Amino acid sequence: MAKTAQEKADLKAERIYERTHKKRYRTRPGDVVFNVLNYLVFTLFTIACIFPFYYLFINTISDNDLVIKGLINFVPKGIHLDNYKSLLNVSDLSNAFIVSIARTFLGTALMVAASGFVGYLVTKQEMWGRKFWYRFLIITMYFNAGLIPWFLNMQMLGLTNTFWAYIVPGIVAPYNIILVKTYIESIPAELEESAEMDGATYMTVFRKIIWPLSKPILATIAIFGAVGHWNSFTDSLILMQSAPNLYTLQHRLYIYLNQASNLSALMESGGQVSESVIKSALSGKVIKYTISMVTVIPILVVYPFMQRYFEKGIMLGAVKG
Amino acid sequence: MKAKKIVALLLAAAMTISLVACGNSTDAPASTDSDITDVEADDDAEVDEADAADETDAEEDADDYDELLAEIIPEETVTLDVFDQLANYSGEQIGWFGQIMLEKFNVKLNIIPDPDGVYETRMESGNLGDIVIWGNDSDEYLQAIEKGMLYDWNEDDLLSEYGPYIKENMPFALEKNAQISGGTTYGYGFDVAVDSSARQDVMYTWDLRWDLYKELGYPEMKNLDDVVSVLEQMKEICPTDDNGKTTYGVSLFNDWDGDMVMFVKSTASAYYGYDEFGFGLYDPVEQKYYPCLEENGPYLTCLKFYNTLYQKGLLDPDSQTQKYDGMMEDYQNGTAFLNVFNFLGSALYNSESHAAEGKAMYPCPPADAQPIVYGQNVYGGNRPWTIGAKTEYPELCMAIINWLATPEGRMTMEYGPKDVCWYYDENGKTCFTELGRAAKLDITTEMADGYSGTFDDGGFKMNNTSWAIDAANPDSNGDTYNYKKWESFVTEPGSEIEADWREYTGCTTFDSRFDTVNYRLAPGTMYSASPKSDELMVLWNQVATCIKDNSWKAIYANSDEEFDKIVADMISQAEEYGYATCVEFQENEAKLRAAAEDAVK
Repeated sequence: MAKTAQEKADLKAERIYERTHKKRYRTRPGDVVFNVLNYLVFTLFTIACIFPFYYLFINTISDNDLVIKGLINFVPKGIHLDNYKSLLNVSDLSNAFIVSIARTFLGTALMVAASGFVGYLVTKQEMWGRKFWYRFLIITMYFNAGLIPWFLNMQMLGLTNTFWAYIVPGIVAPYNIILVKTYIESIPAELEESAEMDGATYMTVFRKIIWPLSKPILATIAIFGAVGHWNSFTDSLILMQSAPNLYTLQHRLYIYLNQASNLSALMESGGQVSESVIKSALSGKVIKYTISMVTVIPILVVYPFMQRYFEKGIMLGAVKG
Repeated sequence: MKAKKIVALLLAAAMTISLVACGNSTDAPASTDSDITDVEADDDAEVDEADAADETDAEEDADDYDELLAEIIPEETVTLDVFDQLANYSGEQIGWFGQIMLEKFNVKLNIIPDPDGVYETRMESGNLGDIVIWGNDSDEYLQAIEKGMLYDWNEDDLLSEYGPYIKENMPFALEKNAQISGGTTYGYGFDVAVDSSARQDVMYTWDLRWDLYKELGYPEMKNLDDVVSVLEQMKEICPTDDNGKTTYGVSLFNDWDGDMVMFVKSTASAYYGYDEFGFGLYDPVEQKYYPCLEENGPYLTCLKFYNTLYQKGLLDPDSQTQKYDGMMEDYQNGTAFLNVFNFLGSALYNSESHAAEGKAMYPCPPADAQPIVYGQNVYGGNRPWTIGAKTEYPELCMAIINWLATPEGRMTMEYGPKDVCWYYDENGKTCFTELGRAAKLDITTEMADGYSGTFDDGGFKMNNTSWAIDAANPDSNGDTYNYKKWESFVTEPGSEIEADWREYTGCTTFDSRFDTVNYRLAPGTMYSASPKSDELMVLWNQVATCIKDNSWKAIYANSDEEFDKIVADMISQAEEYGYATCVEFQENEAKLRAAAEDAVK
């Protein structure tokens, strides 16, 4: 289709505008300085954030002798993967890894499902005792009983030394429920109403309309939940005292990382410490690095995986007229 | 709210009842059998016949005990919870020690260490565990006794029936425990000795780079000033370490600072032979207490020593900020030349590769140094072995603790299974097997003879000891439990540099170097620190922080004037915080300690 003279003139004017403005933009020295500084500052900042991970990583794949001598700072030397291979052979670690993965998947899935459902439930004005239940949930965000009452409570519920201690208490997460509730409230009510007019029940509306539309917020709380589950170790430390097979990876990491300071406490309190104890506690620098790496990597993977659920503008044009 | 209150009240009531229920009413006095004689005494002239009779008796007793044991060993494997404040490990005891426990007692041990919160929750839950091992015998231990959380060893004759070896051979340790535990025995402390006049190994060995010292022509070192000058000369001839980094005389770290800067007070212990004692040092020979801020006192003198090193560029400037790992690297790489501790000096630097290059660290104390040496303690140390009140298997726990207190148990926890890692030769001398020696030198040695994993995997994870390492082993022919002193282990020098050290000093082992040194012996006593009131604790912590912070500042002073000013500030600040009250408390402690020392003399 041939362009009209007016269109051609507009296009030309646009090009000229772009050219002149671009030129002027490029020639401004202040901007160049700003850009350079900007890039520099953020690059440094990025490096500062990434370097610790990089440092850990190159130390886990470099020659162990060099690592112990503290010679690996920027470039890996004598690359090998033996440290990771040897970790696989440490049975308590592979076990802890499975426990961590299991609690993260199961705990997150149940928490997201529950938050979605309860979040939807509390948006319904007609819910029985809605105000009471909602406040009943929210109030737990403001009060914390403390470690010992929490432990006693869990013990009375028979949750100590069982895997369910990781899952059950985390299913109802008030903060996440608020997020979901607020999000659902922002979905145009007309969508629900139209479905209801077509004869949909609450469950159908939840399944077919609310759930799919809430994916971005559900993905967000899934990340919160997964990171929380993966990093949580107080529950493992306090609740699993007689069930070492249920220790999480973070708990194991904590044990390894604290060996040197435990040892110092021993030495400080007087009395001689067996030589083999000293050697055993201090030979593990590379092991500590490797476990740290193994603990960090899986959770980093979660973010890109969840990225695809952050769809924008999904509801633009959902309600027209 | 009312309902909540009622529930809370009910819970509190339930807790109180459960606590009352676990308390025990037996207040039997400690069994301090008067007929128990010192184990050591049997060396003396005793008639052969009596010996023979004793032996038969002992054999019969052993048989009886084995029968008794057979009754209590469970048919199905039982897992015992070991709540262990000393543990560096968490989870099931695996490897060779786990296998021994399984074979001997058919038990698995679940080791529970004590990070923040674990002790508190276990106390509240009413069950500390089956075997309970304490980091010290003060507040938490006493609290547990008060709340009835520990099993009374005199109840149902538990000790006499299932812990006969302990009862017979550790009377003083049991007596001490009864005394601190309010009259009844709940356990016994670690590192028990058989002979109160014997000494432990020297810890403050003044490890110095012997190769450099040799190169300098063995200059005379009389006092701390000479040490500075020797280190200065060493830096001149060896300006860089293995990795080409600048060398220093010393490298410190601050992780282990308690009431004072650890390295400063340790240097005072190594030089003057005074023991750390609250805010200050205590002379165990003269029984005198030196507050740390006393002018020209031992602490401030040693503080000045480190400042002089800093001013001369002989102190690693990272000392205040680096952690244990950083300091360890410095000594492994030869970045620093001197450390007063044996386990931070030669233990880190002396490797095969360094020996091949003719480099090594060896004890080289200045002539005036009178390092403190701790006497062995028949009363045992302050880390009690106890049994939880709620255990279902008190007899089994007692039997395990008893076995660990036998010579075989003590040897096993240190060196591995008998006849696999060590044995007594035909003359009764203790020897390593090849595997045992390899495992001692490299803990990652794979075990053999049916034991799986490496030596380290299966290492004894409870971290507590029964007999002191330097105590005499009655099963052997005059050996102690310390392998370094076994005749079978004393070897030819492993390298030229070691031969040089041996030749120059005329000694074969590190420890024998100190036989000729005028060391100060701190006898093992029943003294244990008195509890501090809450008010005093507040003052105490403030003063400690003030002393540590300012001491580090003083170490880093660039001139003598600056040093003096910082020290003067430290003294005035500490006084404002209540230093005088703390010193007063400590002076009283010194009197108690002196009295305890007099009691064993």
